[in-house]
Amino acid sequence: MPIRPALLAALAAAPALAAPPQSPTSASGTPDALVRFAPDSAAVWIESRAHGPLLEEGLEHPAVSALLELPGVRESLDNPPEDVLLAGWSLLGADPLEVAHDLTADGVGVAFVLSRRGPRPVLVARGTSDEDAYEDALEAVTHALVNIQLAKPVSAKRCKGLGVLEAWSFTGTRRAGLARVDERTLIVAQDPADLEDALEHGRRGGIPKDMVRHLQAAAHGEADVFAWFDLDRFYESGSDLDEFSAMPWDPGAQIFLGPVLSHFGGASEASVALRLGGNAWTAELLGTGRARKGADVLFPDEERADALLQKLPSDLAYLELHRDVGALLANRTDLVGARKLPGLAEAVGNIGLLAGGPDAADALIAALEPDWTVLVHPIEFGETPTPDVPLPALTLVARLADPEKNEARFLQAFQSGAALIGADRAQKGEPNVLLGVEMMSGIPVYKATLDPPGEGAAVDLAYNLSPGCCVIDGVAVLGTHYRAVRSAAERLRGGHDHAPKPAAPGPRRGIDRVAIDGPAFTELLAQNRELLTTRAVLVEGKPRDRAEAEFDLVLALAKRIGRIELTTDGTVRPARNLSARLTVELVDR
Amino acid sequence: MRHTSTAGASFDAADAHHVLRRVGFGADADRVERAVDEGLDATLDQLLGATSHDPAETPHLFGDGFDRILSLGDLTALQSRWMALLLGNGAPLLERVTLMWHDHFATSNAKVGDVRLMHRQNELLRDRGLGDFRALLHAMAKDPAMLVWLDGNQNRVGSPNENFAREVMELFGLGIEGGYTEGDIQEAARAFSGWGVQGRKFVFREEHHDRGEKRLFGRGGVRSGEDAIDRVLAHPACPRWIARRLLEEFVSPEPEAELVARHARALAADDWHVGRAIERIVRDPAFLAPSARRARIAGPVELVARTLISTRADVAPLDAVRAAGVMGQTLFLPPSVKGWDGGRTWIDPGTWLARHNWLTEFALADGLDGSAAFGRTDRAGAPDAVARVLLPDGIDDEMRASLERAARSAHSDGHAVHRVAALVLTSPEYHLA
Repeated sequence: MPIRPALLAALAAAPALAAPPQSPTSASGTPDALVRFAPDSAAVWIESRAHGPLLEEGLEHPAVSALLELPGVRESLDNPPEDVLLAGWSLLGADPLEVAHDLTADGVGVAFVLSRRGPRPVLVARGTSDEDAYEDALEAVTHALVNIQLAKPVSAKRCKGLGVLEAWSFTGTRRAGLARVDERTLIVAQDPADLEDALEHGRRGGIPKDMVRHLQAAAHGEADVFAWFDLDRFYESGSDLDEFSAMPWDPGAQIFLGPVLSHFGGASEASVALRLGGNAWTAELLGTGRARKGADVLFPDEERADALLQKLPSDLAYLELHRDVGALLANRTDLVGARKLPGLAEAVGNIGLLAGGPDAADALIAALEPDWTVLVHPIEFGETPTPDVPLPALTLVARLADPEKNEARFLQAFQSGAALIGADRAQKGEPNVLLGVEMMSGIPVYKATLDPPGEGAAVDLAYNLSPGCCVIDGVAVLGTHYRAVRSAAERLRGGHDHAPKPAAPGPRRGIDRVAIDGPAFTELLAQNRELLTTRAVLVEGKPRDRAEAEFDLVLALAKRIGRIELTTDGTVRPARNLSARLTVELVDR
Repeated sequence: MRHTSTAGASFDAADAHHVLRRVGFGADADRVERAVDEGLDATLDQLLGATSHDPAETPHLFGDGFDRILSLGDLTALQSRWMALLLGNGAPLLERVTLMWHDHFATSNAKVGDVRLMHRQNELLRDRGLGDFRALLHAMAKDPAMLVWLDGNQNRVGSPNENFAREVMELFGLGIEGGYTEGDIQEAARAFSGWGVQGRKFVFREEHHDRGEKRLFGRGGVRSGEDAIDRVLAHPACPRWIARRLLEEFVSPEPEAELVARHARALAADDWHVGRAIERIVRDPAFLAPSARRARIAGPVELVARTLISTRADVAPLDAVRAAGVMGQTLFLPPSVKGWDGGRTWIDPGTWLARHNWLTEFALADGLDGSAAFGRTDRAGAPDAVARVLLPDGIDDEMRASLERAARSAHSDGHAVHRVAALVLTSPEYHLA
């Protein structure tokens, strides 16, 4: 059962937030959601309704059996799962999976309250509507807890006014316990204050107001698992999230992750809603909170040009990115943290060396319009030596502003950069860099290649780099391999009948879109099995058999992936409203 | 228990620790016990005889698999490999000598920027480090990483680059007080002109070589770089400098002049064989003399390796490399051509804090298996069990009282062992080698 109906029911009760506290009676009489029992002080709330089939089918569930069949999984377990189930059976006097199912059939949620000693969980479980089954399951668990002296029954009167029907207290000092708050809802907490907070909150029947938008989005996406995080609480608690919270001020994060993902670091609240469909898994991320003045220059206008290229099946990955590096530089004192400014200045200075001076660097960067397309695809080496570890090529395609002026500047920077690298290599006696140019339908494609290595010598990673660049109809193409540049230029020209097509009418185009071809990625991974496992042995100090088993597990999982797509969208003004959607399409083995 | 060696001297656990710590990087309790049982001579024979690794035991560190890793250009792989060889403890003397020569012929990847060249140099030090020093110096002079590091490619007739010539005298062959002049450096630079690197190989560019005769140390007759190195090797300061280097490593940071002179003479007379020179040193009474015990401050790599080996800890080699790096010694990245200053400079407030933090975390939080390292013990026995492995020379009353207090206030026997270990590892005594 998806989470949606329960969440919608909870949202129906949401207006009660602003209203005076409801009486226990009225609250319990409302169709509600587990989240209303999340303590006010919770920094995390995770709720699942996807576990039902897992508990019903147990080890026979296709996902569980597939997981257990994966290489190395069974070996990594301390005890075989069958033994664990048998032990549970003997403790409960009943099938532990059936008991768990009956206690959580209509949902289970866990809140975490942050404290100096670490997060304290509060579990909320709603069981099956089959009253007899629920009573049996509850009895099995509470009897077992009492028998092993982990808990003892206490009078529900101690929780007077909080709607508690039955209660058990954990043994030991200052320990909370289990409270049954209606016919089939159980709350478990370690700390008495948390339990009281949960019961009180449940009595009022409200939902934390910052969570409402996130719940709405999750309900809309029919989430199976929903997780919500109060990031402000994490920051206040001194959690080690400095790098995450600094991302919106980090030019590296802004360029690599893009405006949306980097600004998640400044969100007050964030949530993830997972939808586990048969052939596709989707994760919706939402970040909300304070506006960030000035940073909106990094986000695109409503009206955006179409992507310069379409994705081809041969692309290992295809990325449409919005990176307004010119705006970032122009507003660097506002948009970049003080500690990151020197590094940025140095990077711009280095680009200035290539472009003909610091001003030229700013001008060159600003000339690159912010809608980029990046293509990743394998290279057929042959014209250049095949590296020992062949990697796919990356090609950046972006429109140049004022191409008449900036085309020469762009091409000049490429050649200067290649020449500088060549000079450094010559200093070390490394194979030289050869600059060259080839014509493609009247368009010069500039390239830099390395002299072949000596006979019998290793063909290093550097041989993956035979960079090239060209400008075609005002569009700059720059790639790690000139063959990839040539291919992108042909696509731009429509030589392969893959010229840009008018965008189909539909929803607004997001900010970033990344599509990765699963099988191609898996093949690349498989090709480098020996290399990557040896590296894990060497660098991480893992035993070889464990490194191989872990790699094979990753590979087996990767083989199930047909395609991965990530899209992002959002704004930081008038309020921070960020979203990202990750879709993993699965294929049958 | 004390045993008597064939030479008649007694040999106890403290002696065994000293030998294993100085010739290698320490040992666990079993190895120390075995050394005591077998005696000094047999232990030295084993240490001096283990001069190569068995690739079959760690195939990932050798051959094609590792060579392919080098294609990634990842220095961490190279650093991990070396640390894995160190921690494997299969050829402790070989690795100690390789580390010593890495400091002596300090070359940094920060400038070389080529892990293949660094790997080749590292293997060169391993292959030749225990052999004829003359061959080692000649080989190092033509080592591509060294030539890149000291700008060999820029040394040409009419515009000699003195970097390599200066270091051959000041650091590699004669020492700063070796009796050479600026003129000697300039003349040697002429001799090395035309030496360079092409395609990761040494290349002699005759057209860039100064063919004229050079005068070194007041005598003519030097024409080539090889001649210049031979002339350095023939200088009386050279065997003294190398013997001193070996004595600093194995005996004391300030060896007596007579000891240096004696071993210098023997080195030169014995075909400059480093392995045999070390054997003479470790069989010299000075090696086991009280003044040689705990006379050196352990460098970070030595300290980390000793800690992990003696406690049988299972820590990823790269983590060990990083730990040593934070303490001031990152493999393949010496700070300058002089290498690491070492000695007292290993310890300053920052590096002491780094040592303290890493060792404390190792002992209390992550890495140390108390039972594996020290055997099963209760809190009362924890001070002796830990000291037996980590400070076998003994502990004074004040320290014993501290350890006992720490053990008593622990919440369990296991915790007591970890607390005591943390105190011992962070005691000043432990940082002496």
